[in-house]
Amino acid sequence: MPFKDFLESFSDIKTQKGSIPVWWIYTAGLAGDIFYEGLKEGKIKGGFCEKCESVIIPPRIYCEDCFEKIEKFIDIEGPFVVFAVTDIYFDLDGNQLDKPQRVGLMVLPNSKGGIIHFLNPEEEIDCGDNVKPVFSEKRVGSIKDIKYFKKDK
Amino acid sequence: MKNLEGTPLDQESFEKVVKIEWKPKIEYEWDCGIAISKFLEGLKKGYILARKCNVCGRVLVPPRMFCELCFRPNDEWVTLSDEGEILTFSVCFVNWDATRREKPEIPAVIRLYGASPNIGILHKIGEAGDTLEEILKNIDIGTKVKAVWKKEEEREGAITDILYFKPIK
Amino acid sequence: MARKVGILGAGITKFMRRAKETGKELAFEAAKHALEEAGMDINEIDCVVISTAPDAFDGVHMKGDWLSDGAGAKKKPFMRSFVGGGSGVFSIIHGWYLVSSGFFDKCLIVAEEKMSSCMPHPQGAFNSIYDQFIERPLGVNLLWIFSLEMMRYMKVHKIPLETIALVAVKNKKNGLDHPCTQKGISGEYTVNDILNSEIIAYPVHRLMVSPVTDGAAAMVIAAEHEVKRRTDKPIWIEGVGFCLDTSYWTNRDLYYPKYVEYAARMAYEMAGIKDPRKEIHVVEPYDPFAYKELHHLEGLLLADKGEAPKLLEKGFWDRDTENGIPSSPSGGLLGVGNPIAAAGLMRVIEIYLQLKGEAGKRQVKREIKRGLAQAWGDLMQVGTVVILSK
Repeated sequence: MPFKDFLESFSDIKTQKGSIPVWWIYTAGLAGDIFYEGLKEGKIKGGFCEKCESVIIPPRIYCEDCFEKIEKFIDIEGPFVVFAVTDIYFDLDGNQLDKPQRVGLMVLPNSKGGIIHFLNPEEEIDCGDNVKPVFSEKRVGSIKDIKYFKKDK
Repeated sequence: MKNLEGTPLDQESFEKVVKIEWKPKIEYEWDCGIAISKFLEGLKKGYILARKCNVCGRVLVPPRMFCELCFRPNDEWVTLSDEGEILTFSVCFVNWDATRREKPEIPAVIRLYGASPNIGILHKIGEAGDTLEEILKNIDIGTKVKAVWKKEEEREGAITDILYFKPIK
Repeated sequence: MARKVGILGAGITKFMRRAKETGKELAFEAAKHALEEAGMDINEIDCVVISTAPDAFDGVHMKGDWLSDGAGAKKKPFMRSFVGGGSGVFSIIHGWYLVSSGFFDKCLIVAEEKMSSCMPHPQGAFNSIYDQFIERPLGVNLLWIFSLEMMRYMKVHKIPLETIALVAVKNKKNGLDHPCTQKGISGEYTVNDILNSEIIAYPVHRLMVSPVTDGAAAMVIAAEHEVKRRTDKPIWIEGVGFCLDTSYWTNRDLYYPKYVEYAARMAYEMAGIKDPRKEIHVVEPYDPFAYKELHHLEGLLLADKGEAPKLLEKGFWDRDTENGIPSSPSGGLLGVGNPIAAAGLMRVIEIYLQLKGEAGKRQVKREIKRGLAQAWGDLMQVGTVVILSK
């Protein structure tokens, strides 16, 4: 192709591949540390706001409504109630699971916040059921220290 | 000011606190657009292309289909020389991840002859020495440079089709 | 007609290489501190502005919204602004136009950064600022833009490296007196110490570069009637300016930051300042690298092009100067730390404290009525300027 024609012609639009090769290490924070260390001990910890007298799970160092500092942290005995459920059919890469996995949002009545976690695959658990956590044998300070929540009879 | 809040962590305490790692795969495939696609195609053929705005008269590289000062589409393609002069340069001893390099790299902003004054491109200088002292003796702002191209059959249509610019007398 | 806006209080956390706190917790600590200094409750705040630099540093998408409850923004009108390193000073501008427009009376401004989360180094996230087609394939490095700009500035004006090193000496010494200062970065250095530190990208030496830092800062601003109700020694925001240049950075002559000049002119005009060198009495220019302070002082029209280094040698910018303009009495980013957005807000807080006479050991000697804080960011593009007066 003559050079002049090359200059004026429309080329195939190209693409450029690339990546952003960074990753992250997040500290759990002042309150997060307390929560995960609690899980390690087989306990669920919450925060207590002295001003509005509410329990907050997972704990924070501030109450977002009062905007006051939270300095009291307590062990949560339960019982937890299942507030919402959903069933997962695919994993994160889009592969179908052998069996759908039920996930629930567990709340403590009259408190703020809640925990999202797996529900016992061996039981039929639904909204409104009372549940309690089942901890793993080996705990490292991670949300997976709880295996799942099961019915609390 | 009262006692300030904040809990600094030294290396030892950092090891002890609860942490969560997340290593996602962040990958992209960008469309080059009209101007850059042409530019890269030109590089493959051994040309450096620029765009001219007939209102302000500027010859622009990297090329773009609009003049950002006149804020209008610009007018024609022109070719530039693959020779130019150094507008600024540096001698870099670290990699992108902050690790140290033995042999420095020499990034530079180069104005190619044919482009308007102060219109430069980012590239690297080569054949200018391996130590800081040598490099500072061989090049400076204003040093004339010429592109060293990859062999024609090895070019891919990328900025790296020019391996580097070397100083010339 | 724009209303007058003043400052009611300011808060700040320590600046740390690595904080235990999450970003939300840092934002809370700074915001709570500012409210306490202002003697106010969160319920009295009408709107919240958060400024924070790339989401990629903290590693949380929609970082501003994520931080919002830690910044007291639950169920409040809320906005986030981001102009790279210029964010900290821009946060004041952002809050200013929300209040001066008459839309809100009292605004809480929070700036936060947790850079330490980003691995292997926050620089890696920053690299994506380069053009993905014709720059990144060269194997770019964030440091290049600074060393290229510094080289151009030095060569055009024939500035010796020793003079640039003096900025680091001055600021690291000033930083010794700042309560937030990050451990290990301030101190009594000599020019030789700075020049003997390893060369990262010539002409940039390691001690000429500000560190990676976590931290947060906050400020409460309010409309005139609210300010006058609460204090008889108000500090006012007299002028704001902001300007952005093209991201085709290789098409600009880097020796002079025109966009800083335009932002400064905008602020001077608003404040009615005709002769900045006489009417600005203390200045906090952005100094992520030592040469940037001088580069910006010229862009702010406080010195002729190429003259800022010569004035530095004469002590014109020293904290205890009697006839000059003290520059970075706080210690700046080199002396205190650089949690990007929070660092910019720290500069504004310093001008505020200086004007109130509450800067402690950092208080400048000469009489001051007006101060200026400036920040800079993106791909060497943005200038943000705020002028405070008493």
